[in-house]
Parts: sequence; structure tokens; C-alpha cells
Amino acid sequence: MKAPHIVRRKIVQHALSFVSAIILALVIGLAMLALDGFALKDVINSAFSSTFASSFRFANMVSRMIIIILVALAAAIPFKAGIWNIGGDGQLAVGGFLTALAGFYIIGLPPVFHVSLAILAGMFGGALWASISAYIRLKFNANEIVTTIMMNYLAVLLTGYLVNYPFRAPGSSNAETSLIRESAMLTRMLPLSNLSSGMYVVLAAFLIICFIDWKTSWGYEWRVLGANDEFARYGGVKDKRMRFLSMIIGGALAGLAGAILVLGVNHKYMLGMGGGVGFTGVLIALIAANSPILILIVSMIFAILQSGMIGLESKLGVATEYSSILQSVIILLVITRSQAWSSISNLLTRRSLHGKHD
Amino acid sequence: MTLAIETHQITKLYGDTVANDHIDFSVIEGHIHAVLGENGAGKTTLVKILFGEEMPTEGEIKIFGKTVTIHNPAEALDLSIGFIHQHFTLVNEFTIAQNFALGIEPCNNLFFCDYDTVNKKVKNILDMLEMPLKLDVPVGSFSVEERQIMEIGKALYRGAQILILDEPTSVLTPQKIEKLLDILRKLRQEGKTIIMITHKLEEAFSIADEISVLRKGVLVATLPHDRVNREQLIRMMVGEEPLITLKKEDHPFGDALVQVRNLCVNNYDNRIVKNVSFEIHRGEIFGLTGVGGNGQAELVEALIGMRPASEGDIRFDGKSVVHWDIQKRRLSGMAYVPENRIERGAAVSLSILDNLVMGHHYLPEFHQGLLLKYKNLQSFARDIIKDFEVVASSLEINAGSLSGGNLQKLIIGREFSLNTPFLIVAYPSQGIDIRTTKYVHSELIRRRDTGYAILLVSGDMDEIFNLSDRIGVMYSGELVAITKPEEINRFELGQYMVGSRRNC
Ligand SMILES: Nc1ncnc2c1ncn2[C@@H]1O[C@H](COP(=O)(O)OP(=O)(O)OP(=O)(O)O)[C@@H](O)[C@H]1O
Ligand SMILES: [Mg+2]
Repeated sequence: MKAPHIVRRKIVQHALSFVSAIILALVIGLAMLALDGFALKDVINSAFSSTFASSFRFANMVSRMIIIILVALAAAIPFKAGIWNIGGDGQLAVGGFLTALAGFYIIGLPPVFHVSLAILAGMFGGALWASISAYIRLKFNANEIVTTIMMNYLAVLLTGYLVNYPFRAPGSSNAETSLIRESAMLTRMLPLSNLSSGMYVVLAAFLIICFIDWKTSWGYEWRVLGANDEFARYGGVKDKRMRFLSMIIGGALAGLAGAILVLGVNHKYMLGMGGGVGFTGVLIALIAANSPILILIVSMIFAILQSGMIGLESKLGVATEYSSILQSVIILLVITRSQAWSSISNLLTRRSLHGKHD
Repeated sequence: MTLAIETHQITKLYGDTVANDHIDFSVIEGHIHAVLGENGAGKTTLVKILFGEEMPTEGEIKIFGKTVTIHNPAEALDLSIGFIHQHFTLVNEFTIAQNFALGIEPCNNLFFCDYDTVNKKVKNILDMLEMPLKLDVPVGSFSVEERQIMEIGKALYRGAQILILDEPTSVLTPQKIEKLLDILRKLRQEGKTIIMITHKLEEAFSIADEISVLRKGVLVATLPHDRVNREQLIRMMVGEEPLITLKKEDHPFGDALVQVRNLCVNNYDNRIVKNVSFEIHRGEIFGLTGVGGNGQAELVEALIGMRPASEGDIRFDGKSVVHWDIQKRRLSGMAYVPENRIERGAAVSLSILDNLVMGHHYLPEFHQGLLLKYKNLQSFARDIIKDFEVVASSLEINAGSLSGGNLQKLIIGREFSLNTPFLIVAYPSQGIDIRTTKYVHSELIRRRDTGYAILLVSGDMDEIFNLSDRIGVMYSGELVAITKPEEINRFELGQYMVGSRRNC
């Protein structure tokens, strides 16, 4: 059978529209800054200074990216299976907290085991937290959008209580746990930077998810469930079990993000350390239509944007809200692009047809 | 004699597929025009172009003599063209008025819409269609045929002078088809122009003024209904190839593979299947028929496991399976061609490959642990496409881009090739052309001859009489008759179906 032309053309069209949407968003963002009286040269310079200018900046940007990738996958896997996971933030918090406990209370293990155990604790915490919403949805049919968001608040309140009272670091005035043991810390790739050897763990997780998505019956059944769950059920797919599984895996990925923040960046659990990144993950999963490869690309773009905005803020005093505005513009453009693209191509074909008639 | 529609050299390409090939098609105002052709011949594509759902790659359209370009359905409506799709488009949760006026509500301001006037107009239309329906209940509570006629009502509400119907009869039972045809005749009297796509020649002959035949994207001919006969039409549709003739010989049945005992099925508090008992033997086709909505669908769902049985027992190969889930039942030897192919039989947004894999992916030859063997799956999928003559340019395109009949072939191919000893086949010839229908029927008989047990659910009398070894009739949730085709005639079967007679 011949190679599918239509398919290849579709992929190219998809990618093209995607890239042009993002470029257009950047142009709009720059135009807004220019209208606000900033010189374009300064803007580019200061954005560059906080992203690619030094290996230290670059490492911090990558560290931001790997966390975004994890939370985006945490949202995307359940989405694929037709169940919403808005609870990345809560899962990250619970995972991070358990990781911090495992990092502090377990003593005398060689580093490899200690780190692995602490990471597993984080993934377990995230999975557990996600499984609660999943269970309530699949057993009692309570809307998982609501429950996952509720579970975010619950996670903040619960870990907030725990790090304020029973597990507060002795003598600390902040809501945070004690520092984890040396043996549980991930090595920093660059002194003082946020990027740790946890990036290899993320790389492995990413590859495993790609593999599951493309090659296994799980990925297949999730895809079918998301596309038409009645068809999946008819075909014998155990819909509840598979959705539960997708939610647990999503939760584990968010928990892993928490673990890496604890073991590689902060070396303790601090209340609010995720900074609402879970929600960014949801948006990216939507933009990237749950495709792991697109998630990689969009996460990169978002990490560059967010890091770049830090430079704009510190150097030029640009309001941080610009970053959110720009991200929103990207989201709007990407989401509306297929419609826009088809009307543009309609226009083009119509013109060529008319050309023929003349 | 004016022409309502006239197309000039319409061509439509989908990638490399030529769906319409330089078509000159014209429809006389006030006439009923039937369009026939095999699956994938380009019928739906042609009418979609007229309705602005697709733009032609080339060619010109004249509506009532005026050259027009129709970019979208709204423009088609402005030109007074209404389209009744192959599938339903009503919003189930809305009332009739809300559906008819959807998007064109007469609103004074943002909040207050004048549904009284809408309702008055709706009532007039329903009266004309002889459908005295309740106006204050959601559309979802009406039957299939009522909704089908409502789709027509909606087009009329929007001022359609030209009505296009894509296979309107494929989901209807014979009695309801008659009713629909009567309505169409009435609309013709009122001066409407009607285009109807169908696979059933009798319908074309009984109602159409002109008949057009499409084949592989080309318009073979347009002829007045009295200047052509059945054989000529079939030849125009399928070419010179002779059709297979069915041969079904009596043979002894094996043991009872499927045994249903006192089965009851509830929908909330309503008992929809009442105390049904029957068995199907190896080597037997059991034809289940009845007027739509009398419990056949729910009975089938209980057999495959999509709906729980509230009482009674289902035995398969000697074992009670009532508590088994769908996967376990399928793996123990059941397959199922469902009655609604878009909602249940396929995921139209996924590729043909993904659609063919379903159910097969549990089998040992296609997976190793969690890993799916995509190479094997691909070659298997290609085999099905070939054996069942699914017209598709590749395995990667969306199932939704297949023509209606080709999607049906895909589903039948997928379920048949599971080679299970028990096959549930609901309305298999829905939307497939004459040649494919013959092929599917001969496959069913071949499987019966090799010892499979087959449950054939159908409302098509020919199908039921020609294929069944025994016939079961359902009425109001009960199995009111089990009989043999040679022991009854159509009139008696009809009496069973409307509940005026029973034998068990
Ligand atoms: N959106 C699409 N993308 C690609 N190919 C398409 C698309 N729609 C239709 N086709 C192809 O165009 C051809 C004609 O399809 P069409 O739906 O018009 O057939 P049809 O005559 O209505 O058949 P049926 O009787 O099965 O409904 C088929 O080969 C089909 O696969
Ligand atoms: Mg069609």
C-alpha cells in the first residue's frame, strides 16, 4: 500500500499552523511591549539575558521545562482517556511532601536507593491523591473537574497544616519541612542551579509515556476511550479500570514533579513550591492535543517565555502579568487555528479556482 | 419545465480520491429524484456539495436557473435548500420548537424569545406531516421514525423548497418507510423538489419521477422512472459482473450454543424485555424481528453484556454468562455488529487501523504482554479491507471519511473476522449496496453452514425470510412468536409484529 499522502499533508499542515500561531503570538506580544514604550532591542536583550545568556540561566530554564513537561503529561494522559485531571497542583504537593518525609526520616541508605525510594514516595503520593478523585468519579459519577480542583485546595490545606505543626522544621519561621538527608539529594548539573540529575528521570519518564502511548494496548484503549467511550465499551475495553489507571499514572507524574522539586531544587517541602504550575500543565495538554511530542515542544516554548519574562521584569520593570497575557494569546491562537487555517486555505483555493475561470 | 438544480461538470477530489467526476446533474422542479449507486460512488459527496458542506474542486451550480457558489449550509438554506443527513442532527435535550428554531430564534432581546409563534408554525408543519406530536417534551423521547420526520419538518421550517434526503429509509422499518414515502409524495404535491438517496430499488420505483445512477464518481445516467427496469438499473450500478445468488440448504443443527431463559431487562423502573426464552443452535440463523423499539435492542445488549439482565439466565456453551463483562463474553466466543455504526460501531475520529484493531487486540497473535504487534495488526487490517472491499485510500485516514456503506463494511469485516462461534448481527444491510448485501448474506450463510450460531436482528422482511432458519418476533418486550419461515407468510408475520397474534 502506498504512503498516505493525505496523512502526511495533514501533519505538515498541522505543524505549520501550529508554528505560525506561536510566531503570531510572539509578534503580538512584542507589539504590545512596543506600544507600551519599550525598545524592541532592550526587550530582546533582557529576555535573552535570563534564558540563553549563560549556562546557569539556561540550566534554570531547562529545570523549569522538565517540571512543566511532567505536569502537562499528568493532565494529558487522563485527557486522552476522556477524564479530566485539573488536580496536578494537589498531586504535586502531596507527592512533594511525602518525598520530603522519605528524604528526612529514612537514614543510612546508600544514595541510589534513598533517592529512588524518595522518588517512589512522591509518585505514590501523587497517584494516591489522583486516585481519590478518580474513585469518586468512577464509583459515584461525581464530576472529576470539580473533585480534582477541590483536592487541590485540600492538598494545600492538609500539607499546610502538616508543615506548620507536626513536621515543621525546628526553628524555622516558614511553613517548610526539615532539609532532606544528603543521601537523598539529587546532584546538581551545575553548581547552584536548579537543574539536577532529576532531568534523566524526567527523560526516562517521558520516553516511557511515549512508548505506552504509541505501542501498548493501554495507549490504544485510552485513545479509543477518549474518542468514543461507547465504542470502547462495546469492544470490551474495561472503561472504568482503564480510566482509573490513566488517572493514577497522571497523578504519579505530577507527584514525580513534586519529588524533583524537593530532591533537586529545594531539598525540603515548602508550602506553595509548585507555584500553580499544574494549571499550566492543563493548558499545555489542551494546546498540544495530548500528544507527547507536541507537549515537549510547547513546554519548551512556555519555559522560554516564563524565564524570559523574569529578565524583562528585573531589567526593564515589565509587569509579570505580561507573561500570562502572552501565554493566553498563544492558547487562543493555537486553539482557534484550525478554524482560521481552513478558512485561509479555503480562500486560497477559491482564488485559484476563480483564476481558472477568468 | 424549470430546473431546480443544475450542476455543470462538478468534480470533487479528496486527496487522490475522485469522489465526483465531472457530474452534470439536473433536477426538475416539483419532482422527486432518486439517486442510486454503490457504496462510495459519491452520492453523499454530491449532495453535500449542493448543501455547501463541501466545496467542489471544480464545476458550477445553478439553483432555479441562477449560478451560485454555496460556501456553507447557511447559504444553502438562503437558497431554500434543506438537507436531511444520513445521521440525526437534532439536539435530544431540546423541544421540537427549540430544535427547529435553533440559531434563528425570534428574540426580542438577549433573554426573551417568542416561542409561541415558533410553536404555532411548528404545529402547522407537523399537522401537514400528519405527526401530532407533543411540543413540550425533549426530542430524545421520540422514536427513530418520528425524529426522521422531524428532520424534514426542521428543513421545512427553515423555508426549504428543495429537500435533500440522504438514505432516509435505512433506519426505518417497512411500515414506517411507507409512511415516509407518503409524506414525500404529499410534499411533492405542495410543489417541493425532492432528492432522495437510497439503496433500495423498490423505493426508487415507487416514488421517483427520475432516477440517477452514480458509479465510481461518474453520473452514469438520469432516466424517467418508467423508462428503465430493475435489471438495467442494477447493471448501471454494479457493471457487468453478475450478482451472487444465495444458496441455503437445510442441514441438521448442532447443540444449543446460546440458551436464554426467562430473561428480563430493565431500564430504570421500566421492564423493557419481559421473560424472554429461546435458544440458538450451532449451524442456525435465528432471525429476530419486530417493529423498532419493542425490546430487540435491549435484548441484544443484555446478550453481549452492555446492559445488565435484571432476571433470568443466559447460558453460552453451557456456562452461565450473565455476570460476565463484555470482554470476557467476547473472548469466550461472541462478536457483535451493532445497529448504530457511528455511536457504537466505530470511533470516527480515529484511523481505520484503530477501528479495525478493536477486539482483536486481546488475541495472542496481536500482543505480547502490553505490547501491541502493530506489524501483524496492519497486515491483518489490510486483509479485512481487501476481503470486505472497503474503499479506503489508506489505513491511516479517519474512519469518518469513509462513505456510510464502507464504514458498515469495515465493522462487519472486523466482527466477522474474529471467527467466533456466536455472531450477533443487527441490521447488517443498513446502508450497504445491493452487491455488498449479497456478499454479507452469503458470508452469513457460509458461517452458518460451518456450524456458527447467528442471531440476526432485522426489520427487513426479505432478509429475515431469506436467511433465517427460525424467526422470533418481539412485541412490547415479549417474544410473542417463534416460527419457521416456511410456516408463515408475510401477512401473518405482520400480525405477530403488531401484537394482534401470538404463538408462545
Ligand atoms: N472527508 C473525506 N475525506 C476523504 N475521502 C472522503 C471523504 N468523504 C468521502 N470520501 C471518499 O469519497 C468517496 C465517495 O464517498 P461518498 O460518501 O460520497 O459515497 P456514497 O456514495 O455516499 O456511499 P454510501 O452509499 O456508502 O454512503 C469514497 O471513496 C469516500 O471514501
Ligand atoms: Mg453516503
